[in-house]
Amino acid sequence: MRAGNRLSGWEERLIDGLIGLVSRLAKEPDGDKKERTKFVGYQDLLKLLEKPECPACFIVRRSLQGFLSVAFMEELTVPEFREPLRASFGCCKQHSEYVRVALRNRLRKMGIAIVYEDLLALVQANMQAKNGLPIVSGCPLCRLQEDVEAYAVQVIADYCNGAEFQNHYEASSGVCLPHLRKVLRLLQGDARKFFIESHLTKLETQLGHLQEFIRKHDYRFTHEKMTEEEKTSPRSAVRFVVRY
Amino acid sequence: MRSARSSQQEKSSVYFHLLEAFKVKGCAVCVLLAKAVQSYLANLLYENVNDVNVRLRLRQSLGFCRDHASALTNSGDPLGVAIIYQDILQDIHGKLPKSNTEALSPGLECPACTYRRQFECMYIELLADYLHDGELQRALHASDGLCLNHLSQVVDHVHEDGVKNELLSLHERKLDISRKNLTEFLRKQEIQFRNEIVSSEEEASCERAIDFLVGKND
Repeated sequence: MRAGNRLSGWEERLIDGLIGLVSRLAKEPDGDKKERTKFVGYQDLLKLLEKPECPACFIVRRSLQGFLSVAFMEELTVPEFREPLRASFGCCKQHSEYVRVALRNRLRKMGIAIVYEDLLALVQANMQAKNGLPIVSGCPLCRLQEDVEAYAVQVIADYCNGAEFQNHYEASSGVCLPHLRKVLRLLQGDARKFFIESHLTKLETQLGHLQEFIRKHDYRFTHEKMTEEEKTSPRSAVRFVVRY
Repeated sequence: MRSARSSQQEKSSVYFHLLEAFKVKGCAVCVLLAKAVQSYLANLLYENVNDVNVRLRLRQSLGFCRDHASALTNSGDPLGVAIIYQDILQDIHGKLPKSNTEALSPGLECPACTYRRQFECMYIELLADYLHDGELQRALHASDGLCLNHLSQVVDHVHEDGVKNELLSLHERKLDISRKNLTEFLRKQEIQFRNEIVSSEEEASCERAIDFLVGKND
């Protein structure tokens, strides 16, 4: 399913587990929350921190993408998958991007064609019944994203007290601003102080890279070579603020 | 607005932009909005990066929303992006020690979204006003039609039942074609019909169905 993405063994396992988690969330939104927080292990989180991406964004993006990929192949006849999609007349604009990505695979494309033919028929039936035009709203993936996001943020907050985690966190690029806000809401005392101080240092480093990027665009300094961090600093700054 | 629009000069700009946009694939309003946002971002990066008021506004909204921030980083002017986001990060750096998570949330809407909405209203009103115009009708019939969101907005602005019904039945026919393309695409995936060639419309039918339901990205 994920051939070509060059995932390591632990990533395969983690993502398969996350897909399972999202499938369960889709089917039983009020399931056992305690069980869910145990799912991403401490070692998984430490490994996620080695990536140049916010770990919460990684968990959310990969689990939803994975869930959709599986769902469009294997869950086409499952009412828990189809009915919310029919009720909302498809996914919202943001999550439709995941569907567009899934279209690159021929087998998934067949599943997507089946689902979207049904959605168009539904819109048409609404038009013919003179019920007015439906609006795509209440995207089921938005709800799932909220649940997975809350889960990912909780995992980070649960593990953030130890010295080992804090050392890894300081060496990482950390969470993005939207997730930092959510993590800070869950923390108090030393853990909160650690997150704020760590992000102040990260922001200073990012600002330094941006400043150098700007300076080296000045005609007097264009001969100076840019480091990789400086070259990517505008994109990294945007990613920190909005996550994508 | 209506009286200004009825002048030939107004018709010659926005109205003709719409006529041109109907020749492009996809919803004409989405096409025009994408262009408007692109030119807004290009103009911002070219001329307004150092404008104090623009900077203040961007600080309040923490820059742009996810979609427009992505469009900004792909605009080919990383220096402008660096200047804007250096200012925003500095502002966040100043607010972070105060530990107030509300201060770290955007206080205003993304400026590109605000700009986009103004243009959206203008195009929707103009389309609704000129739906009985022969040239515009021909262009609309020959086009892919509007996306669901813009169709619904135009319908809300049209007061004459005849015009409204005609617009809806046109889109019903277009939906029929889209569904036929999807069905044909699916049929040709079956083993006994694999030798039949999938047309470009059938191949693109899934993408077009998504475009119809949620519109195109800026």
